[in-house]
Amino acid sequence: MINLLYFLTRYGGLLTFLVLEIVSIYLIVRFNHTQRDIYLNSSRFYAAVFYDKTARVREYATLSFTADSLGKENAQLYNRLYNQLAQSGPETPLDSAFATFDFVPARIIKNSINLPNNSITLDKGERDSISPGMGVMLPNGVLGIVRSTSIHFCRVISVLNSQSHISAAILRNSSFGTLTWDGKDPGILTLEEIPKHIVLQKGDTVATSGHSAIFPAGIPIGIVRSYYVPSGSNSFKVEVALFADLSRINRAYIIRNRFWEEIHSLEVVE
Amino acid sequence: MYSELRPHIIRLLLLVLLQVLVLRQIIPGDGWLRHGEVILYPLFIMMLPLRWHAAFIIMGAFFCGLITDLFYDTPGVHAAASTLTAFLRPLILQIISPRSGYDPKQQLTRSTFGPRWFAFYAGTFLLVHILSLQIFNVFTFYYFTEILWRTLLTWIMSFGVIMLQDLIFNPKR
Repeated sequence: MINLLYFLTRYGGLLTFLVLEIVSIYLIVRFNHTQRDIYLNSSRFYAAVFYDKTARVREYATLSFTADSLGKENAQLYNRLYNQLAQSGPETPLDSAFATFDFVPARIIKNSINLPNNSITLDKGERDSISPGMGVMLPNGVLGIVRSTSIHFCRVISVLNSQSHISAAILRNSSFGTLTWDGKDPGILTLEEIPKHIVLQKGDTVATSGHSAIFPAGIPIGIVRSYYVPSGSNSFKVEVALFADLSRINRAYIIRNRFWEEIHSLEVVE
Repeated sequence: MYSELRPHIIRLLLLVLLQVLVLRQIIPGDGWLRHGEVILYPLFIMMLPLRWHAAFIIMGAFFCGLITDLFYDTPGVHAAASTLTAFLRPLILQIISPRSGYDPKQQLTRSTFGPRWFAFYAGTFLLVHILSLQIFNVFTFYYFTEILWRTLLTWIMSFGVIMLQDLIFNPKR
């Protein structure tokens, strides 16, 4: 017994260190890749409520900025609406029964941009019929895709995440590719798989392609900053400078596609 | 027992709150500067009493890292770094020990050992903590130069903040 006590005081520190370090490393390996959502599902609720409270305070401080950007967004929408009406003449107002996409405004309660894999928490969840797989957009860009939901919150895989793959197109000639992030600059995304024969120009606008059921076509994303063909490749690697500053956002829109299940089930059958 | 624990529990809560509410949001600038951050919570581990058993200190550090992880969404990363730093704490203290050595009753503050000693202690401690933090983070991504750059940047910022808070809250001497 005395020996045991002696042993514990002598090596207790080392033992505790080894045990706890192994526990930590286990946590890292287990939860920091694909399965981190499991951990987040159990803990997220408390953390999310906490962040929700602090987001309210922070939001108050940036109210004028928010009002400003909402005003700009409205102006842009009016611009688009009335120009369209002027071109096509007054028509019957759009019946909501025929609308494919449905937009749910959400508040960003947690955001990060400087990690290798970023994710975002929004304050809308199952209660607002949000489900995994829905797209999230900003007035001037895309933000990501919903990964998991709880009752009041949802978690979004940001475009600034190595797992994010979003279909995007060069607006001028509608050639499309996949938008990814290389983990370095949060203002730059990489557009891949644009065929070599396409003529590109610096300053071309990149927008969502509409080739998936997640995003409607034509949400602006950014402009072409530079492009090159990697050696041995048949397609361009295009650097896209984002319109949106992802560090300063606090509102986003979740996109519900009415036909998502139908399209999805069809694609799964194939 | 409780009266001895209380200041440390309060310090832990305040530091973690400050870390996840305020310091987590700080990004020093664009481009490369984006990778710096301010890490202040190791101050809790630094100031745990000298006379506590090593196992106790390591457990405290693990717990502190775990709470931080909960809010950083990086399960295990901060806990692993904190545990490692707490384990190395006696070694760090030994390297920079004052000529008269330590008395277990002394508090590890600037007013006890002087500003030079405290700067060395905080500097070394933060360096170990931040370097291990970056290495555990790399478990997923990033390369050598990036680790060093992140460590350097984060270290400069965190060290500055620790010295500043010490000047503000303990203005004696």
